[in-house]
Amino acid sequence: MTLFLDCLHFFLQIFSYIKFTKQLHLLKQHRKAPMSLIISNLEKHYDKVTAVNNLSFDVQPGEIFALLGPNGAGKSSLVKMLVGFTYPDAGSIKLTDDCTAYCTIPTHLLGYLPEDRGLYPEKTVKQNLQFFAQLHGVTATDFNSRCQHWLDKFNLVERINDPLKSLSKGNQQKVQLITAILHKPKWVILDEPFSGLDPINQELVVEFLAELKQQGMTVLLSAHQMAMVEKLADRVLLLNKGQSVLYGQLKDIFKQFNNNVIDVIFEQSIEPEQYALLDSYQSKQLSANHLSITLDKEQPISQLLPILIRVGNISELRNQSQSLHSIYLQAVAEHNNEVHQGAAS
Amino acid sequence: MNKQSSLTHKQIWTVAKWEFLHFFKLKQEIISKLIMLVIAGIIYFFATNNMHLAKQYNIAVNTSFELATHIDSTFKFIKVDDLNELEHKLNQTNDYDGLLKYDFITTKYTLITAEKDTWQTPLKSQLNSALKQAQLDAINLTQAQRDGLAKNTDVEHYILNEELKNQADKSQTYTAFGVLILLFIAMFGVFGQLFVSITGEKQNRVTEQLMATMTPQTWIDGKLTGQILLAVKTMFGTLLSIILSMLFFTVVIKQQTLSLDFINWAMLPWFAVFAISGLGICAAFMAAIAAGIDDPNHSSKSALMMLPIAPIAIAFFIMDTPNSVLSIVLSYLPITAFAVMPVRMSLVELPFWQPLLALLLSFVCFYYLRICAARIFKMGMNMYGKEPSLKAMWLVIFK
Repeated sequence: MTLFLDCLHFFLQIFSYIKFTKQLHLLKQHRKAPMSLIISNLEKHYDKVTAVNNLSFDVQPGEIFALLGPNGAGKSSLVKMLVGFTYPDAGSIKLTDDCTAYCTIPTHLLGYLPEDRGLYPEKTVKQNLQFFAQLHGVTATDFNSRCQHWLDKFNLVERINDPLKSLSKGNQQKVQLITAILHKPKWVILDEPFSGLDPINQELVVEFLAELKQQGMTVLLSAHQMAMVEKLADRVLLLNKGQSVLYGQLKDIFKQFNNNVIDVIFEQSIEPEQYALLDSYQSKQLSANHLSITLDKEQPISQLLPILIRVGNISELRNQSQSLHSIYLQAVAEHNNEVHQGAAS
Repeated sequence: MNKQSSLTHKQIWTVAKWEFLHFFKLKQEIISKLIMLVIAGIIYFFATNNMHLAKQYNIAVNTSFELATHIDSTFKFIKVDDLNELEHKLNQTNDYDGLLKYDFITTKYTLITAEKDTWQTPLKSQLNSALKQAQLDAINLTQAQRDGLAKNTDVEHYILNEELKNQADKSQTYTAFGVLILLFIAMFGVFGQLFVSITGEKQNRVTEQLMATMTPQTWIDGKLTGQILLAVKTMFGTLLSIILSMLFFTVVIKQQTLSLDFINWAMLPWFAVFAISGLGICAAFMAAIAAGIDDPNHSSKSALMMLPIAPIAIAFFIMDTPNSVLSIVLSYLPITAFAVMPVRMSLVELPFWQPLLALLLSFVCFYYLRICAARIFKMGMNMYGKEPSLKAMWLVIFK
C-alpha cells in the first residue's frame, strides 16, 4: 500500500511540474506592487449572440468596482472571462503590462462567488469551509481564527457543525461568501452577492465588503441592487447589450446626471396650450400641477426658467437629486434608443 | 515554481482525501464487518448443532437389517412385524423416530418420518453409502477391479510450443483471474462513485466555486487519485473478506488447515500494478464521460461509462488462444492490456520486457486520458442547460 502511494505521489509530482512559469511570474509581479486589471477591446460571441462587444475598462487596486446592467447585458459573460472560465474572442485582459493578451488573476489570488451558488449540502458548514480553505493552502490556525471572525460577523457561529442543507438559502449564501475570501485573496469577484438576501443580510454584506476593502482587497461585483452599490462602489461600469454605457467614478456620474431634473409644482393645473410652450424639452412628465423635466446637456436651466414663468404661477421649484437607480434606467433607455435608431438608419 | 507546484500537490491530495472520505464511511465499514461476523456466528451455530446429534434415534424396519453394523450407533434399527400399522401411529408415538420400509419386489428402501429434522440427512447419507458398499460386495469385485473403477480418466493435454506453460502452474491462472474478478468488483464501485460524485457536483452547482480555486486538471487528478484509492481499498477489502470466509469455513467449520497455495505470490505484484493501471485508465474514461453529463436523469451517456469493463470480459475469452494475433495485440493495447496481459502472463512464458512495455503504454494512456477528462469537464462546465454532444467532446480533446 505504501509503495503504491509513493508511486502515485511520484506520478502526480511529474504531472504538476508543467506550465507554471506564467502564474509564478504573475505572483512575483503582484508581490512587488498591486496591479490593475486592464481590459481592452474585449469581445465574446456565442453562436449569433454578441455577449460582450468591444469593451474597455480597468479595475484599480483596492477599489470596489461595480458592474451594472440589465439581465442579458453581458455581466456574467464578462465575469466568466475575468475568472478564466472562458476565453475572449478578441481583445485582452491584462494583469501586468508585460502580459501579452490574456492573463487572468491566478486562482490563489482570487476569491470568487459565482452567480450559480452551490457547495456540498450534505457536509457541515465547517467541513465546507475547511475544504476550500485547504484547497487554498490556509493553515489550520489561520482557518480557525478567520472562520470564527467571519461566522461571527454573519451570526453563523452556532451553525458551524450543522449540515449546509439545514441552513436557509440566505445563510447558505453567506457561507459561500466566507468560502470565497477565507484565504485572504487580493482580488474578489462577486457575481450578484446581494441577490436572495433580505434587507438586514444585504446590510451585513455591505459591511462585509467594506471590511474587505479595508483589508486591501480589490472587489469587483455585479449587482442589481442600486442602493447597495451607491453605498459601496468607488467606480461603476454600466453594461447594456454587451457595450459600455456608463463608466467612471460614482461621484462623477452623479455630478453628470444630477442638476438636470427639475421638479416644478404650479399653483393650478396646467392647460394644454401652456404645456405646449415646453415642446422643445423631450423628457418631461406632467401630472395635474406637478411637472418634472429632465434637461439635456445643451439645455441650461437659465433658458428654462423664463418659460416656466410663462406656463403658470410656480408654487415650488426644486432640483431633483437622481438616485443611481434612475440614472441606470435613464442611461439604459437612452442606449436602447441609440441602438434602435442606429439599426433603423 | 516550487510554491505553486506544492500548492497544486496539496490541492490534488485535498481533493483525493475529500473524494475518498466522501465514500469511505468507517462506521458503515465496521457495521458491515460486524454483520459478517454475526452471519458467520449463525452459520457456525447451525453447523455445530447439526454435527452433534442429540440422542439415540429408533428406526423401525420390516426386515432383518444387516447393514446396521456399517451405520453410526446413534441410529438403532428395530425389526417390527406390522410396519403399516406403525406408520399410521408415527405421529402419536415417541418410541420410534422413523420407519425404514424395504420393498421386497423392487428391493428399494424408503425412509418415512413424521417431520423433517436434522438427524435425517446424516442417516440418509450413511444408508446410501452402506447400500452402495453392499452392492459392490454382492458382485464380488477383486481389489484390482475396484482400483480400476476409482481411477481418474481425465485426458491430459500436452502442448509442444515451449512458450506455453502447459498449465503446469495453475496458481498463476487462478491469481490472474482472482485479480481480474476483484478488479471487476472495484470497477463497478468506481463507476457508481464517479457518476454520483461528478454529476452530483454539477447538479449542486459547486463546480464553478471549485474551478475558481484550482485548474480543471488538478480537480480531475484529485478525483481520480481518490477513486483509485477507493478501488484499491475495495479490492483489498473484498480479498480480505474472501480469505477470512475461507479461513472460517475451512478451519472453524471443517476443522482442516487452510492452504493458500492457489495464490502465486511471485506474480501478484505484476498483476497488482496492471490492476492499478487499469483502474486509472477506466476511471479517467468514466470521469470524461461523467463530465459531459448535465442531467443524470435524462442523459444517454451514462451507459458509455460501462465500456471500460469490456476488456475484463475479453480477458476470459482469450484464455484458450493466448498466442493468437488478437490476444497479442490486445495485451499491448492500453485500454485492454491491464486485463489481457496478466492472463497471457499466466499462460505463456513471456520475456520481462513485454509486460513492462504494456505497463508503460498503459500509464502513458492514463496520463493523456486524464488530460482529455479535464478538457471535457471544462467544456461541460461552461455549457449550462445543454449537454455537450459526443462530437463536441471528441473535438475538445484535440483543442
